[in-house]
Amino acid sequence: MPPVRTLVVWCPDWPLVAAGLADRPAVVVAANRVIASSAPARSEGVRLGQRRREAQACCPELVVVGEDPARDARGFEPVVVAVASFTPRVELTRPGVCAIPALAPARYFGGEASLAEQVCDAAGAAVVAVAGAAGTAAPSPPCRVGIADGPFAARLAAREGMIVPSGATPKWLGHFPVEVLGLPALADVLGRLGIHTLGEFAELDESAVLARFGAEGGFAHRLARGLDERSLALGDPPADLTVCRELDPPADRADTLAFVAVGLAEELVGRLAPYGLAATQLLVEAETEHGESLQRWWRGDRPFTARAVVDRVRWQLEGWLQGPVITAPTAGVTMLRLTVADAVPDDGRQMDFEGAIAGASRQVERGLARVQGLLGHEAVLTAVPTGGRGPGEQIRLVPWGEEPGEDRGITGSKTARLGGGGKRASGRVRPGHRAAVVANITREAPPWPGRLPPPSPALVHPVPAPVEVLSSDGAPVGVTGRGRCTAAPSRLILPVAGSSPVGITGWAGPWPADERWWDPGAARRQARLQVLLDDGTAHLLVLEQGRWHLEATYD
Amino acid sequence: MATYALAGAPSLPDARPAGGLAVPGPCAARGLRPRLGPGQLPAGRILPVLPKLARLFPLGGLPRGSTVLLGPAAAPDPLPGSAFAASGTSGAASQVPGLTSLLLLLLAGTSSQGYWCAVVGLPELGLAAAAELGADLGHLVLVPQPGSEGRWQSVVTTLLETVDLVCLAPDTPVRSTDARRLSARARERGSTLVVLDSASTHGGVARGFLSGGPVRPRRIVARWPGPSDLRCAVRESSWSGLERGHGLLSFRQLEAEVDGRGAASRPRRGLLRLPA
Repeated sequence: MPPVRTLVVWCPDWPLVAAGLADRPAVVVAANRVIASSAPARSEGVRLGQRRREAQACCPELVVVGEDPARDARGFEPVVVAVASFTPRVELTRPGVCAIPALAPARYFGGEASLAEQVCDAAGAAVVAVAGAAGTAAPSPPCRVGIADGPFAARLAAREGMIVPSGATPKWLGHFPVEVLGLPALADVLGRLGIHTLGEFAELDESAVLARFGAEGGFAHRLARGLDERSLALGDPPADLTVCRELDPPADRADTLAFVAVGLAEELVGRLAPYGLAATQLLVEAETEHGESLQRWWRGDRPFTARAVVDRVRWQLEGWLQGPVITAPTAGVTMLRLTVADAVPDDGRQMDFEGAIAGASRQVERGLARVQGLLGHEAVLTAVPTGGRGPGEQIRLVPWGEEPGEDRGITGSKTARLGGGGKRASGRVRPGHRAAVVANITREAPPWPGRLPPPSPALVHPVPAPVEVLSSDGAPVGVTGRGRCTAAPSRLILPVAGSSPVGITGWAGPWPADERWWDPGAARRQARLQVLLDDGTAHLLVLEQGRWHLEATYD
Repeated sequence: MATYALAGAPSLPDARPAGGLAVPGPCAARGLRPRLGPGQLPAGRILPVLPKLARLFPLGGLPRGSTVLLGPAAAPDPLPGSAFAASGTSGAASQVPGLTSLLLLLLAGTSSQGYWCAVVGLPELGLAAAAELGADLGHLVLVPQPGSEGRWQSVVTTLLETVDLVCLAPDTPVRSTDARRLSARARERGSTLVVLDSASTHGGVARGFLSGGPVRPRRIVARWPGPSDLRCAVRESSWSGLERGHGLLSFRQLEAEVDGRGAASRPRRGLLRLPA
């Protein structure tokens, strides 16, 4: 089956347009890495994948905002409406990128070139309107349109703003670097094998690629050859892949609907499971009391998990319910329907070619998702080692299911766990940079001078309690500018009512830490002191701004 | 309480406590196969622990479906009151620090073998220490704020159905009906429930006043009223390496005690040297 002729609309720097920051130096940051930047920021030397403070060093007046997919999706809705005036079958890849099938509209609108021009004008006007509402100027050009065979090639064509003639896509793809596949780990290995372009990758034998790189590599190989993203082995998905829920009373809040969507998504994913399938394209429909309806197609870079489905539903409905008055519905939503439009064989969460996936079984994922349903997404955490001096800074807590990110050179090993993981990874491709795999192998942590050697304290108090450290003559102990104690600590007073001073039988330090002195807002000067008390307990005290606090306990 | 020479005994994990203690079940001699009752569990029904802890447990590990209480040693109850004022006087036996380290060792043994662990409560758990003791942070799930009364029970229940080992650190007394229900759920689902009842130990009192801000210890009465199959306690703890003005906390020695029901009814003690 030949790939579908696809037109892709790509709005450059969409997260910044949605945040109203496109005309000044600004970046969007996730897990301390730049994932999107504005044109003025790029002209100052800011690059994707930089750390926040590297970017700030390039451009001191840089505005930094956090990642917010919901905001991006909300803002994108008018653009989708504009594109939908050409054909209702708009497919959203992510906020900022949407696609329509090009074949039939091209016939109606007078050829592909004419269609591309008209779509570009309409979408561009919508982008300018959104940017104006957000208080910024749209980037120039506000959006780009490309047409090629298959969504993957069309996305690349849109970045270059060109129309690839039908049938010429495989040859045209050949000159792109392998990094555009959005699989940094694979691109790194290929680079070391001497394969730098998609053309070279496509020349490899398919079965050999499959044997070496597994299902993911085989999929990438299909893309590189310009074939359809859909696997040929698949027949049509079974017919009953629709789940629907009537809402009574009607719901007019996106979070209420997202809650309903949780159950629907679980049901949908569960219904696909017996067929061994996972959804890659999804139709989300909502209908209100007054008969207004909104339907959107969503395509995932990876098969949708139940969580990813819920996210799409929430983005779509937030954009609709809180969007401009003209398009916003006038009544509550009474019906929510999810349909699987396309599915691929679900090869499960097997080891990918990195061999490094922490295989969370389906049972664990489902159970933890339920706990997140009870307590909120942020309540279930996993720990990722990171760099730092204090005992609490050496670990970063990441909500369950989110990408750990690559912080300070040490990565977690779960980058490929998420359905939507590829999207963010593709924004961070750094040609020539050794990718996460290498860091995983070497595990080389950068040095942190002034960091306390192990063993680390077993209890790190979230709110350090103020304490007083006294010398033998009862005077408070301080730390000099040269990092020495003014007197030998002899007694410790804890802030417990009625407690008497406890004798200090052993102490070491202080370890001074002068952190972020280049940033007045975040600068900290601290000194840490290990103490052993005469009741046998050991603690870590920290002095900051003349006050001692009990930071951690060696329990 | 007996004391022993800490220095000059480098192979202490194998050493038996010196005289003065009613030394219970010897550790190394009888190995990992203790005498068991007729209801003994097959090997797959046991969650692994670190080798240095294995001899403390009658089955060589944590039986699935059991409830393990990490609490104060079975000494006289501590006097409620200040955390530190009681030190050195009565109740000192129950105030021995080290329960959190014992918990981290259990988590390390289980998670490093690829089993999933969850910790409910205990926002102050030192995860860097966990990693140093060998825990696989990729298999450790944290729910530091499990919600209010009525909510945390369902969280723990869900986790018991989900992961292999759930550690619960209640910050208020658990009602006995809840405790019984959670134990029964663990038994039914074949997961292990570890309860950290550190309220009356040093760490727990520290938690009480440090996490919330008020200066009165709040959590002194937190208790696990329910059944427990195994009970782990720390009887002695000492640090070495830190002197007055020099050195570094480098080694610690814990004397752990495990007792419980059935095969574990004879308490077992062992010395642990950390890190080692």
